[in-house]
Amino acid sequence: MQTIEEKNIKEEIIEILEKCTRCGLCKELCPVFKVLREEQSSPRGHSILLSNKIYEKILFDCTLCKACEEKCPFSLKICEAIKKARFILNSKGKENTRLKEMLKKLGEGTNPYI
Amino acid sequence: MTKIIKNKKVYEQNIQDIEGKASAIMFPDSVEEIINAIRVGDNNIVIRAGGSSFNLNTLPKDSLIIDVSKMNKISSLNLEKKTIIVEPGVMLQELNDVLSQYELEFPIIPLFSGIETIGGMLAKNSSGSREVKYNRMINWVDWLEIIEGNGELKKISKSDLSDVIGMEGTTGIIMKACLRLTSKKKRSLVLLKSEKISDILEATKRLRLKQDICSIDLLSKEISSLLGLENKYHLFVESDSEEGMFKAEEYIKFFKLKNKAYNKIAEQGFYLTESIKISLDSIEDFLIFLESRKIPFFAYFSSGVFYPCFGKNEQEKAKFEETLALAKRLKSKIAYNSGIGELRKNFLELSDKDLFRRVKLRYDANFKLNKNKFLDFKPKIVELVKEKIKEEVEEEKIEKQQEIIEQPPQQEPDKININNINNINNPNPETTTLKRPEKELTEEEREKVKKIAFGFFGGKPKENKE
Repeated sequence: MQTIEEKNIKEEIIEILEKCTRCGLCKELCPVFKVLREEQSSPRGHSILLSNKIYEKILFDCTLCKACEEKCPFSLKICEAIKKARFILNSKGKENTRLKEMLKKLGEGTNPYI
Repeated sequence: MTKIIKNKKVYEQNIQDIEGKASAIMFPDSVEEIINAIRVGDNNIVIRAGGSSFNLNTLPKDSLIIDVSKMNKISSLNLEKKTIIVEPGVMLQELNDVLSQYELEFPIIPLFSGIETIGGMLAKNSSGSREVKYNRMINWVDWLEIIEGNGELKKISKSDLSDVIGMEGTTGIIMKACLRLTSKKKRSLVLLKSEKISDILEATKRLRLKQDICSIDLLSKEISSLLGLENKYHLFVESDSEEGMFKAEEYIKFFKLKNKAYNKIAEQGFYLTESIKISLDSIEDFLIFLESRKIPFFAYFSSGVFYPCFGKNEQEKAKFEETLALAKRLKSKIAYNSGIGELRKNFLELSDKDLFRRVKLRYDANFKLNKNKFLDFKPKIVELVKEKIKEEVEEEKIEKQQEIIEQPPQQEPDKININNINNINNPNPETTTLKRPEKELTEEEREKVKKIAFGFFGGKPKENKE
């Protein structure tokens, strides 16, 4: 069941990405897309997923470097939208398990990279 | 191993807000995987790389999308011949980053050079602002390796490149391309400005005659203002030398500024554009039209390629249609750099359609590749074209037979001593196919042969020094 907070966040995400025209110029500097070469891992791909209210773990691929925002003709805050989407994923238990383990180990004072 | 992904939505939506439908998406690792995908089943296949087209060239309609973005190897750089072999997913920027280490470059710079792939550029036969000097993609390719519609891997030599390049993936999936390169140039720029169209035209007319000019780009008044320049027309004149006013860092600064034209106008909501090549004698009329309708634009002015920009609302759509209609009346080439795709099929000339259909039938008779992109292939038309091809093949056979009957009896060719010709002009007598004479020639005959040989190959026979 969706909470009010989740509902508000989803609307905020739609608002941020409302002006996205799917031009793809955001892909030019995206370091993740340059390595993975998959549309779903590109800023445009994330924008399409979120605009269609599709919340997938692939949204954790983004490094939040904001290179895409530099190239976007509308300077859309794509990274902000992705951060909000990650909150939704976490609240649904679809968090990135690897990140969760790292945080736990940091809390324990052990090596988070192993 | 091919990866098949489930987030199909990212391939179904596009800049035109027309939703497609993908049956599946695959990222092939090898040629064999693509061949299997083509041969198995009734797939209708859409080939995609950068996905930067505005005219829905990669719109899926219950299609299997083959995304070649991961096929991005760059190999076999030959510094002597200045050639390189690339896969279709190589991005132009990546290629030039590699080449700059060797003081080389690939000189074609299309509009969205930051995200264009070589495969996409070949499919559209892209040119760029430097077309006046560097022409189009087809002029920079030595050979291609493609997979045809029947799953056969084929090498395409220079003479057949036009069967693939510019055909928007309808005749084959490009697997490798051997590209020609050029030395990296130290360029410079000059900036001219005026309020009057006549001044701009006059300046361009004179500048086009200069040999080292590689591009002349024109920005409309609206776009010039958005870039922080005066509210006038601006000409960015680029040279392949350092003779221009702005060199080195200043050149880079103005080059980048010019390339922000689309971004700046898109930010204002005018993000829909089309590439229209206007013939030189109609440019003035077209400019007057754009000015009168207050349509912002930028242009690769030296080659007559305009990019008028439009918004999304009904008024802007009407202006867009009006502009395209005028361009058609002026016998312009619409979608010159953006590819015909789904949206511009009705702008192809009838004679071109006929030719393209024939080429398509040669390479993809089963209509598996990019079906109904670029050209319509309704069953009736296909049958008509097939019939026509059959008739022409029969006519050709009959003509050849008649030629053989009507040919006069062939005279025996004069016997020429191949040895003498070989000694003069051909250092490798083994490569020739003429027979050796049965007896030695006399001195007089040798002289005669020398004169004939030099008559064919040029030069003068060496005089005897005795």
